[in-house]
Amino acid sequence: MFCQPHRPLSRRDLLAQAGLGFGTLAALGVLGQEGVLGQEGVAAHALASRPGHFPPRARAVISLFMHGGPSQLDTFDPKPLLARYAGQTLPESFGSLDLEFTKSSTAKVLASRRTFARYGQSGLEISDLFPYLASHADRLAVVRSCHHTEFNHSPALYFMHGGNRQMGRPSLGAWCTYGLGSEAEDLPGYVVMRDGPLKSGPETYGAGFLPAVHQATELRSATPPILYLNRAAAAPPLDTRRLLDFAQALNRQHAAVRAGDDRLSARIAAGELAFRMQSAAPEAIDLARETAATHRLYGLDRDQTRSFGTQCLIARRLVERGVRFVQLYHGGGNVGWDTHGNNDGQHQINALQTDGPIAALLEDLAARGLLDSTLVMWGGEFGRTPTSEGADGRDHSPYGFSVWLAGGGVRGGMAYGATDDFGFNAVENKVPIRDLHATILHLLGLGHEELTYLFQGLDQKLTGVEPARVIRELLA
Amino acid sequence: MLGFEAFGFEVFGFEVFGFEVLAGKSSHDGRRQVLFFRGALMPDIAFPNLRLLRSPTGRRFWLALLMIAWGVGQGLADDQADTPAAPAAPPAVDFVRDIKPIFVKHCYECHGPGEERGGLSLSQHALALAGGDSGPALVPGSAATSLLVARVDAIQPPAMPLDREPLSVAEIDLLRVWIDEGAVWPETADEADPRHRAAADHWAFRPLVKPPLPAAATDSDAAAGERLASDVIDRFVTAGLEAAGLQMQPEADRIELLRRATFDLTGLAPPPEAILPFAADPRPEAYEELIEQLLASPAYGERWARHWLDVVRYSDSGGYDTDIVYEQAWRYRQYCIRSFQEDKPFDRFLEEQVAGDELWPEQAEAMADAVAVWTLGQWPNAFDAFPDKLAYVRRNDQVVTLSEAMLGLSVGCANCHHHKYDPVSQRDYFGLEAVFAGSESFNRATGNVAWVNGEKSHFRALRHAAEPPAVHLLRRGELNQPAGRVVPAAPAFLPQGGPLFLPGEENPTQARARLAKWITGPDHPLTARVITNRIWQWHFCRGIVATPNDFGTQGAAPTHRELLDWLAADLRDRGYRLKDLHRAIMHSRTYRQSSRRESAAVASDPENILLAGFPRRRMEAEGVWDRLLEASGRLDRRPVDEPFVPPLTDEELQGLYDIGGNPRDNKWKATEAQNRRAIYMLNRRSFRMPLLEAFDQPPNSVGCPVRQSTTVPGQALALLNGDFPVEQATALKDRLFREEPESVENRLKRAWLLVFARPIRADELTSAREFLFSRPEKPTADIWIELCLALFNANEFVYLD
Repeated sequence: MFCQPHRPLSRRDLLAQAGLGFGTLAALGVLGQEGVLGQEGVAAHALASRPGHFPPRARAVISLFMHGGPSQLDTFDPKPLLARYAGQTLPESFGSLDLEFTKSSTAKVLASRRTFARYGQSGLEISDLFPYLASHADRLAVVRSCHHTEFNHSPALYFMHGGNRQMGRPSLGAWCTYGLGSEAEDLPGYVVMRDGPLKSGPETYGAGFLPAVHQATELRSATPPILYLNRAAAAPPLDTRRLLDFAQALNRQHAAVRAGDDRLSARIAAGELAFRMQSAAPEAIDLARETAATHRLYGLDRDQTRSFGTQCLIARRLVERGVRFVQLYHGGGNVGWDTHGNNDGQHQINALQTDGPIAALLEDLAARGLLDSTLVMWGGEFGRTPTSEGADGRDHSPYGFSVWLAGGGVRGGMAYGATDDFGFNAVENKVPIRDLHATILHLLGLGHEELTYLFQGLDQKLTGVEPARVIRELLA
Repeated sequence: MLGFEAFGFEVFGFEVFGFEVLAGKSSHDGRRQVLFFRGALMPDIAFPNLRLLRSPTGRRFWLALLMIAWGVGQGLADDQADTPAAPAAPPAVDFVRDIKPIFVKHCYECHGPGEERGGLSLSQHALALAGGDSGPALVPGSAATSLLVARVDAIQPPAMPLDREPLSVAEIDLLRVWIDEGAVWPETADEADPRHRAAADHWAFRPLVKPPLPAAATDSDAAAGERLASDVIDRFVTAGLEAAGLQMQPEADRIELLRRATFDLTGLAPPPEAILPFAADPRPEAYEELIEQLLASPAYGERWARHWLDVVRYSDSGGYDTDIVYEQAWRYRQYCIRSFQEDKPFDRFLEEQVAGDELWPEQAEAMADAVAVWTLGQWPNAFDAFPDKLAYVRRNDQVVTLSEAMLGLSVGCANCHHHKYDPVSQRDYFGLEAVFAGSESFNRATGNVAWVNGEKSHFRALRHAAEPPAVHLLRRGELNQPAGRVVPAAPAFLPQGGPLFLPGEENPTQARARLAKWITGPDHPLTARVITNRIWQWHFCRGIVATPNDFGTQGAAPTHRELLDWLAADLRDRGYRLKDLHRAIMHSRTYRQSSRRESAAVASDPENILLAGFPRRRMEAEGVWDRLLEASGRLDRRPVDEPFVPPLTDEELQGLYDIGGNPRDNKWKATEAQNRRAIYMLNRRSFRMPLLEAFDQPPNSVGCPVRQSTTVPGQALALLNGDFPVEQATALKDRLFREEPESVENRLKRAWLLVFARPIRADELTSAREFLFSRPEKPTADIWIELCLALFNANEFVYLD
């Protein structure tokens, strides 16, 4: 929501709302020239990189979001009992859980067609959907006991991103740049890439009530990579630098007789940053600068993996350039992981498209020494039912599903928590989403109780009002 | 394990005793988990001056005795259970002397006055009876079934007090006796809630009266209403400035004032033909005539209704997966525009929205448009199959929107727990829900109940529900944890608050009417203050209270409290005419001063709270849209009912999800009507027109009290490269050539009038000519488009002095 919260605007806020790096202002000579941007203002700048509440384990995040909701039962949470009960209803003790399309009391158990094996020194169980990822088993901390109560896409997506089922809450990435700023000078601090629109709309990765400077910038693998980065092909041939120079000359005259208004100089600087983004953003996504071996590693040479491989490779380039939070989506705009029918076949397709690129990302980050400082996370808005929808589909289930973390500060090679014998409900070491969020913030050096923003009369937190717990068991 | 515990009394020198049988086991934390029943060898009634024997030796003695007396005791205990204490007899345990000290010592840290960990406060009788998240704490007459006892005696986890020294057995025994005797708790022993004490002193909750004026209050011309009000503004603002050693700036340049007032009241620029004549008009009344002309313009209603629509979270769709379109939401939008245009008294405007259908049933259609505001909240379609959840979400939206928009109170937190800082209780919150629970949304076309699956048309208003659901206070705000039933009520801590009906006279078809009349009642401390503050904010960019939706104790302190009170009382006393308030503000020297600020003022008051200089304003998103069209000559001033949809490129539409995979045709189909003012544009919750989004247009998932005004590179990209600005630059170029075909100089003069609403300066004329003629190889038309686009990208276009 683009709405100033219940708080007066201070000069500090005005600066904080300008999405400009210190270098930008300095380079423009705005600081000395205008004499209005004191050190205090710059230090308080919203996207200036700054320390968190304690030393971090990770300084960047890459979130791999599998839109639609991947099945825990076919990926990271093996349940041999499903085969034995296939075609039967669940034991009565399950009662009736709210689901989108099916009834948990009458639906029949659907066995997984996947086979699981143990990988790495840790012996972590992973299904045969992910042969490439399996080689990184010792890097993964799989949480098998995530749970919430939202069994429909939008509220579940808002929950996973913003810690609350309602739309209009700041997303995790926005909280991160709010807490830490960004190290990227000519690029946004919070970047989103997706292969299609999300069922819950762009609000999903929004800044909610936080200043709009924390809004995600969507980077597209198409041209142009950022909305309005270029003019439409049919537009008249205009010389942007020249017309911007003319406007900036007017702006300097205008500002010169209006001393004391930081916003005017901030807007001059924002215009220049916009201009430089026109080259910086294309450079960041210019994969021609990567070697052929890298292209092959990420699967850019194969049709199935090109799309998500491109996202993963760009994510690495963005992290190298100091971007704080990179949010990738797979499965937008089509069936994706929302496998109400043909659960197994569709999971195979999804896995083919993502397994290689994700493994490549982990390997590449590690090879470049970035994995120790980059938190990589994988998951969807919920998991799926152990029971069938139609003949071969699985309905949504938020009651017990798997996510994994890897990289910066994460103890690899472990599974944490457990679901019941049918993989329906989280039963052991249950992890509510607020605990997951608290843990992610912790790895970044942010205390979830301390990262607050006053709105609607409350110090709002990503983790909400219920007490949240950092899952120390997942920390290296 | 089987055991006995006993307690004894000394009565008139004799000792009598009671006992308990303990059956259970030791829990892992070493505390007892017991099943128990209780009896007494002497009936524990009717003995004044009972005093518990506290000596451990005594306890052991009695315990030994009890082992022997076990069987007798059991029989007596059974008898006791059915024999209530004689009512006339004074209780054996005195609350003030015996019980309250236990609460203070062991419980108050978490459950004391103003504290309600787990929803429970033991500071007042009613609160203790109401209980907390786990249910009622006390069952008078039955210690055995009272949760309080079960918790302090570790019978039911978690044992209380949490992580602290447990109560002594004697203390627990006292509690048992007290509860069994009926838990007598004199009203005088209640501890005041500190929030109520704070509320009694809180300025915004106190009666609204006109404060005395500073300095010479009785000027000769003080009789004329508006003139006085303007003068009052200046007196209070000057007093604040003088106290800080600052002063008001001189009056703004005439042309600046023209542009300021015109945009402020209409959201548009003065017509180019009017600019120089106004600057040249020496008559002092020329400015007042301008204000009257602007207030009479239909554009005034379009601009000021937009402000109100922010507050009530207006949108044309429901959000979430389906983001279903509310096809006739525009009726409410048009109702608001009309109301502002007509200068409808604001109290009437509120009453019509809250309860127009109940108060003026003869105007059914018009009033249905007004009350439709309560049908325009978010629609979480996931709950279509769960009508009770959907109804709950809707009521929550209604209560939060009403209290924030009309009362300036944030009550949302009281959905789940008593407000942490303000005296808003959960009962207050659900009392408001109960008001709305008596009504249901229905489809005005079909008469069907709306908000249920399958009701596809979304032409909605409120009517009285045939079978209104009972509203219960919900522990932790959870639907599956209902507590006591709640009746329609206004927040109890405000004047005339509490139940809206006397017992026995409940009339659900007048619940909203009662609430409406309560809101607009002359004694309401908030209503007039809140709207006065909003009007001030929309003129000066910042309210006297900077948190316009939160006048509670955590809201921002008013910068000019007496001024706000004076203006609010004046507005109320003179019939809530907002146009009078506009006049008062805009005629004041405070409003008319220059926006140039002295460096001393910038240094000592960087946020310009004291108003040494008019606050410079960045146009809102709608202003950017409207002004681009107006300057280019393409603005179509005709209003439209159904929202218009501008064409967007694929690139712009990328964020829009459509389940059918065809967002362009299904969710964003360009309409025939185009180039209207932005207030008429389709306003989806899940997707905003990207140009407007870049300039901080709120998505209105909840009400927006203050627009953000950010400065981000995305805005520059949008204005430099977006199709719409480039098209308007091209259209402006065409207009300039059409209207000034002959001379470059005249064309440039015209451009400055159209874009900046002022004459071009000589140096600008020179630099613009240089820009135009320094690249002879480039087509003239393209260079002029570049120039026009540069003007749109200038700070002066989006900032108003």
